[in-house]
Amino acid sequence: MNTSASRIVSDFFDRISGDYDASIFRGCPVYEEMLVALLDHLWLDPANEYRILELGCGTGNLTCLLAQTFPNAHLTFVDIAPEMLAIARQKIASLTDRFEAVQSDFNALDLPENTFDLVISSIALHHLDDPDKARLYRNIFRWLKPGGRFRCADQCMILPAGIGAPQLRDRWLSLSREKGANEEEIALWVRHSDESDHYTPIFTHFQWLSEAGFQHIDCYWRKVYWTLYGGEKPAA
Amino acid sequence: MVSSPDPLQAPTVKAFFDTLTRESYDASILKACPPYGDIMEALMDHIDLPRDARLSILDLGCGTGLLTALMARNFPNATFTVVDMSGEMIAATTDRMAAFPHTVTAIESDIRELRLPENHFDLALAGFSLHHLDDPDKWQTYRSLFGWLKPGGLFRCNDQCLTQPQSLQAHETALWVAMARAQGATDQDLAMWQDHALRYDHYACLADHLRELEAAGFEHVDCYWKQLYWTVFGGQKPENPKP
Repeated sequence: MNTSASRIVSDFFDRISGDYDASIFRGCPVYEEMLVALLDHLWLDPANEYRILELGCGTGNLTCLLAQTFPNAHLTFVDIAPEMLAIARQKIASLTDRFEAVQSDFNALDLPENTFDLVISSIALHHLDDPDKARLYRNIFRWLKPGGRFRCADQCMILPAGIGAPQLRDRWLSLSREKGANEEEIALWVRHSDESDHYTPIFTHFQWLSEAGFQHIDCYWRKVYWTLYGGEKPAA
Repeated sequence: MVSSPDPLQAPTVKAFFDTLTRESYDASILKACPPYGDIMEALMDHIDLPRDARLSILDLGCGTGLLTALMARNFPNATFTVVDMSGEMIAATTDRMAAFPHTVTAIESDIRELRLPENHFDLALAGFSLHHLDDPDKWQTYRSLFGWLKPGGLFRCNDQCLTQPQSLQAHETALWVAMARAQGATDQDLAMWQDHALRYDHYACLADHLRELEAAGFEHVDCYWKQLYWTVFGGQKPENPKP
C-alpha cells in the first residue's frame, strides 16, 4: 500500500534490519504490514500535541514509529522488563525528549484519568489472562480523554480451530520460513505460544470493550492470529 | 431476459448484475478487490472439513461462480446448491461448473424469498453478496441459514464491512482507491464501483454481524481475515442446537 504510514514503517525497518531484535519479523511474519495497518487506522492529525500511552513497548519499535509519525506528541511507554525499557528509552531519546518511560506490570499501572488521546499496544496484551485483560480495558477507558482512541495489534484466538490448528500453524510457519526463520527458533516460538500465551477471540474482546464503555468498536485488519482492533471513548 | 447495456442505468441490483458477464465480472474483481486471492486462501484455511466428504454446500449469491468453483476444486465429492437473483449470473455459474463433475442445483431467487430444506447443508457460503441486503434482511438471512444448516454445519462469509466510526469511512475509501489504482483501476472503474456502492450496497460493521450471528444461534463466531472493508467471518451451528 502506497501510504505515508507504509513509507515510515519500511524506512524504519530498513534501519533496524540486522539488529538483534529483528527476529520479530520472522516470528510475526506480518509484523510490518500490521504496523502499517495500525498507523493507517489511527486517524489523528500528525501535527497535534497528543498525549500517547503505549502498553508493552518492548524494544521500542512502535514507540519510535509513533515519535516519527507524531513529532509534537508526548509519549508514555510502559514495559514490565527493565532491559527492554532501557533499549526503548535509548532508541527514543534520539528522536524526541518528550517522553516518560514507566517500568510496571499492567496490573499495577496507576495513571491519571482523562489524560491520553491515544492508548496503543502491539503484541503485548496476550500475556495477560482473561480477567486481567477485561480489567485493563476498564482502566484504559479511564485513562483516555473523552473522544480518545484505543488501538491494539495482537494475536487473537481462532474459533473453533484454536491456535494450534495444523492448517493455521502451517500458514504461520510457512510465512515465517519465507522471512528466513530457522527450525530452532520455530520450535522455540511454538513452545512459547503453547506455554505462556492467553489468546482471546475477537468477539470476546469486542464484548469486554463494550462493557468497559467503548464505542465504535471494530477490527481493522487480521491475518492468521494477528489482529488489529480498537474503539473510542465517547466524547463528553 | 432483457439486459440493460449500461450498468449505471440499471434500476435495481438484479438489473445491475444482469448487465454483467462472467468475463466482465472476473476481469474487474481483482482491480476492485486487490486481495481477492488472499481472501479465498483465508476462507479455505477456515473451512475445516474433510476434503473427500460428501458435503452439501450452499452458495448464496453465487455471481459468476468463482467461489463455487474454488469449493469444487477442494471438495471433489460435494454437491452444490447455488442461488442468485440474476439469471445472467446463474447462467455464468452453470457455465463455469460444466467443467466439473459435481451436481449443481441452481436457483434463481432473491435471498429474501428463498425457501430451502431445514438441517440440509454442511457448509453455507456467501461471497460479496449479503451487503446487497439491508440490515434487517441480513439478520433474517442469518436466522434462515441457521435453520438450513445441519447441526455442526459451518457458515463462512466474505463481504465488505463498514469500518467504525462511519464518520471516518473516507480514510478507508482513500486507502482502497490507492490500492485499486495500483492494480490498474481507471477513473471510470472507480466511478462505476462507487456509484454501485452508493445505490445498492448496505454495509454493516463487523461487531453487528458477529452479534447477529450469535443472536441467530451460531457459536464459535469469529472474524478470520480482514483488510480495509474486506472481511472473512462466520460461525458454526451447534451440534446440539437449543430448541
